[in-house]
Amino acid sequence: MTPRGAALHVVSPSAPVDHAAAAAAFIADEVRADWHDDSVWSVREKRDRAAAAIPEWERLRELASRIKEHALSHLDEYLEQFERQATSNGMEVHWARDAGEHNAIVHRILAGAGAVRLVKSKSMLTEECGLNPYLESRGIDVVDSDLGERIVQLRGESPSHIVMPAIHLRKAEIGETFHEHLGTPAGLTDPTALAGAARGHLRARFLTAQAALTGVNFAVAENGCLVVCTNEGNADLGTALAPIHIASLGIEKVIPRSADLGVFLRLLARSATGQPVTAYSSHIHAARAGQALHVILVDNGRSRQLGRSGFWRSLKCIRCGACMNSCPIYRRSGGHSYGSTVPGPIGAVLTPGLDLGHYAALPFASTLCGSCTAVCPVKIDLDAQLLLWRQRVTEAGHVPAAKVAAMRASAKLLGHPGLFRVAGAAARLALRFLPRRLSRMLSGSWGRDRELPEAPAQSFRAWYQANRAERS
Amino acid sequence: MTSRSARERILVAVREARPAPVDAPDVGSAVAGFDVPAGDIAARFIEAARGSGARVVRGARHDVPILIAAALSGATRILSAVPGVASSIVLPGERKLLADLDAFVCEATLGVAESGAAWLSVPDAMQRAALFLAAHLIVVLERRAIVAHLHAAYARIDLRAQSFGVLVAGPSKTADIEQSLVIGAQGPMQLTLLLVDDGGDDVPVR
Repeated sequence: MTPRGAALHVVSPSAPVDHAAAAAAFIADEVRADWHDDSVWSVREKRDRAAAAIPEWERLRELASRIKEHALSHLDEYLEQFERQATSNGMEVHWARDAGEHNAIVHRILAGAGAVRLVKSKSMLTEECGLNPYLESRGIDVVDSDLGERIVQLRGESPSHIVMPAIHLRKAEIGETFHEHLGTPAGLTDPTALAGAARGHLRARFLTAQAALTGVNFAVAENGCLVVCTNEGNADLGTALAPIHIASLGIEKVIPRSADLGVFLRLLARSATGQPVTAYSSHIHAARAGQALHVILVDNGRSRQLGRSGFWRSLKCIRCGACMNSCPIYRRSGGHSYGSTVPGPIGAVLTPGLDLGHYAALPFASTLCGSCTAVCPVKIDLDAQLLLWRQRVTEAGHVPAAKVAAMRASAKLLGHPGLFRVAGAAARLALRFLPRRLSRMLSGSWGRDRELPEAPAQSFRAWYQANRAERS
Repeated sequence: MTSRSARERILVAVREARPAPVDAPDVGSAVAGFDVPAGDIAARFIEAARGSGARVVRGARHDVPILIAAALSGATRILSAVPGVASSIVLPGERKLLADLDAFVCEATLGVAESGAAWLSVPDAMQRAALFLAAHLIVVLERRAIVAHLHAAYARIDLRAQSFGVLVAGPSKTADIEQSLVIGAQGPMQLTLLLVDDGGDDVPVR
């Protein structure tokens, strides 16, 4: 089954996300799953090489973490300062409490100017808000201009990674999509040729767009500057040409000073792709002559997350994707299996707060190995927050009955030494005498893909009593 | 345009949710403690710039027009923001008419050795469009305007001084198709950095 199928499997609005089922569908295609794993891991390795080349890397991470914690703990003040500065630079600042308000503001701006052709650059926030279908149902032609995002948009999918939206697709699949939508020759799979075709296709859209929408990587409170980082230059083509620029940003993106940018820009691209810096780091301080520049500050659950003592630090995230590149679960289950705009460890920490029942499975999509925490450039304690969410999910009663029963049984077993000894003896006998197929079946999901161990001749307790107990 | 209530309600929600105050770190003094790598700063810049896919040419200030002419071989539609280098086209009335621009020539304010990036301050809207529409971007950079890292760069850049500034590292690129690097995604297919040495002193590194 393709990731596309997996996405359809979990994106149903009513049924809770079943990560394990979606992941099972993804790994059913073993060749693809292995390729995805290797492909994503190679990006993690690039990150490691880039980080190792900077002697002060750990000091930069610590600084970045503290700047963000400072900014978040004074967020109302910095938001007001940013608003004052941006307004005095000629930007129009809007506030949206949720996705609906955000989408309505975007539509009002476009409708007010009679604009029907919008080009977008990468913005996970607008994915989160469901902006594209909202605008399309109102007659707006929306073109995602980042190559990876354009590919998934043409296929009717969502991004499977926050930095590499089409990381789940093979070039042959992209070739088929381009053949169907852009008229490239059938069977064309050369990445340079495919990217060239997309360049021509998107150039025409940039030249005729009536408005450009971008995300924002950092918004500087002290001077109202917006920083947008891309490798393709697509955000810049959009904003340099269209008469309207709409910048959508989550309220957590505000940082105090431009000196802070030095810290974050040294970390961002190295953590994301292993590059020293992205090809373009654009600093927009004011609207250019004749252009309307709108900034939409979006809450959509962020202030609630800020108020959660165990989880507010997740808002430090600068969206580099290093945690998902590191995650053994993400790499082997694909981004669509999370059924959430942001997948991987950071998604599993940010998303449950939006709807705990719907996303109850996400905190369990982890081995708690801590690899994500070790690479996070702003030092978010991701594995600790995943564990904390598991406790919240369990308290709220969102854990499947079978798992609750199994946990209760385990607790009883582990709390009663006599019972534990009997069960241990039974298990050793079963391992020795039952047919392998039967014993694997009895061991539940653990035995599905694993060989069970050789049965030891005696329990540890029996061994200890024979060998050590008398000596002490 | 936004109802007053959305703004107020977000600010109130944030104020009520705020965690205990965390002091701002002293970025300036932390950064001052970072070691600057030994060796020639220009050599480090060139290595990093080439790593990002840029072509680097070195020369003297008085040779700039000749070096640019050489870099421009084959280009017919050229727009220049560098004094002494002529544009081959009349600046059109509309930005979109720059769509088939062969080359745009401009001068960088500073360079960053660690990442091979050049800072371009682009106050003019037409030049801002040309910078991203041109097939070939040619950037003149003084050797003594190279600083060690981004911290030194931000200490020297005044973001308020222009409506738009961009740090450029190499040509436009993408790896969105199976992680294969493709040079020339949406913006310039080629970046030439003309590193100009006039024999002056280096800018002190902060």
